Amino acid sequence: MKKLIFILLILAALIGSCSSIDSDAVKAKKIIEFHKVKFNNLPLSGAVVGGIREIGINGSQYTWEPENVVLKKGETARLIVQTNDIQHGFEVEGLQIPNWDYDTIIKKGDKQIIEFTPDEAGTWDMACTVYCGPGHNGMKGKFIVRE
Amino acid sequence: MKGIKNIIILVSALLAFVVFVGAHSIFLFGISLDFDRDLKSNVISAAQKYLNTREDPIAFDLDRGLIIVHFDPDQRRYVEVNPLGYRIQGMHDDRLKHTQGTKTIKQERGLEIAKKVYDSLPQDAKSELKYDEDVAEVDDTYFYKWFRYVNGVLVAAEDFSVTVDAVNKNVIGYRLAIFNYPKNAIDTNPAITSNVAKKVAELAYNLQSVKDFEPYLIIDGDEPVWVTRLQGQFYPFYIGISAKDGSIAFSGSLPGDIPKNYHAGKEIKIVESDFIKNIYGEK
Repeated sequence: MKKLIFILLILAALIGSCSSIDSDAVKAKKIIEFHKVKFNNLPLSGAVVGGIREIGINGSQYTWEPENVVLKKGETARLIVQTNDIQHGFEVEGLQIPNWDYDTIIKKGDKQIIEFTPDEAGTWDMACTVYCGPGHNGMKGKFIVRE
Repeated sequence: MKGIKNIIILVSALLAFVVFVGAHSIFLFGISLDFDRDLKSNVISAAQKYLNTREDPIAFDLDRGLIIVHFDPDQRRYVEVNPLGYRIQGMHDDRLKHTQGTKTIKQERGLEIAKKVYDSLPQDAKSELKYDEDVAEVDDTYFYKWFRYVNGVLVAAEDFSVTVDAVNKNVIGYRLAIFNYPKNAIDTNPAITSNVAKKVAELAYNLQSVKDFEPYLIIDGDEPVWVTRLQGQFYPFYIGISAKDGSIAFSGSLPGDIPKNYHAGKEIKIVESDFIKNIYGEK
């Protein structure tokens, strides 16, 4: 009898730990799915001009306008980056934009045009690359490429 | 003959690498402060006052929000200024380093010297810093470190360090990182468990966790992050999973030094937020 109870307890513990692992995996899948689609409700940024999506991006201490840039994978985009106050720089952290040197200093009144076709969907941070004051590190926005 | 040629090529490549790294380690970013005259003059005068000099700085750099004011890059002589309030939060001067002789003090005596610098810090900073017993020793200098903790959780990259010369007993440098958020603005309670975070990392990257690596909790910015480790194709790498929403906070290397044997997390209460419950479909 004692043996039977012992075996049942072991089984219960095993089933318990397996179901906990399973439920962790289910929760993890739900989290990943949530983050994958969380920006789906955001409209695409800018407007299509002559077949190219044109988006104006304005930097100022210490924000980007718009805060979220949403593009479509495979659709050519033209980013027109300007600054409203002092010098800034523009980078999408972790995303390689062909022919764009992120060390470029964008001064007030300058207009930098970046044209590229995103071939990868995902979410990255837009960041300022030229020191612009104590809040420089926090000058971030979201750069989203949708499927 | 071919062997000698190979050795020459290898040595040349090594030398070139050393020169390249050496030349570039002096400046990190080489920032300009010309866009704000007040900022520039206040930063310079704070640095000059600290060093008691009228010398003009040679360059500026950025070090996690602190402005490095270089006076003599060849001697790594610089002062680190917080651009908010212009407080001096660090300095380094290689001229204070011994040029000859052998160690005259042990780590314990060096710690007493380092503690004098620690004692000069503002009380609010001191109250959150905890001394790390693991002292690095390089080239007859001791490197002492204090890490910032909030509710027992390490705040990444927010620490205090002092470098003491073990030969001449000089303080060669020190640095207090900027505390980006006050402790009462930092939430240390995770909303997801370490096991869920581990699974998120594995599933998001389609990789296995490093065997026997136990995830731990740190604060990155103002939010708790579970740190786990995945086995990549060639080498393992770290993944930070936000303990608040399960998003990927960082990948690759850690955002700052982690004390040896650090393992906070398991004992901290999980507070599942409505946001997370919604994702799980429990609400």
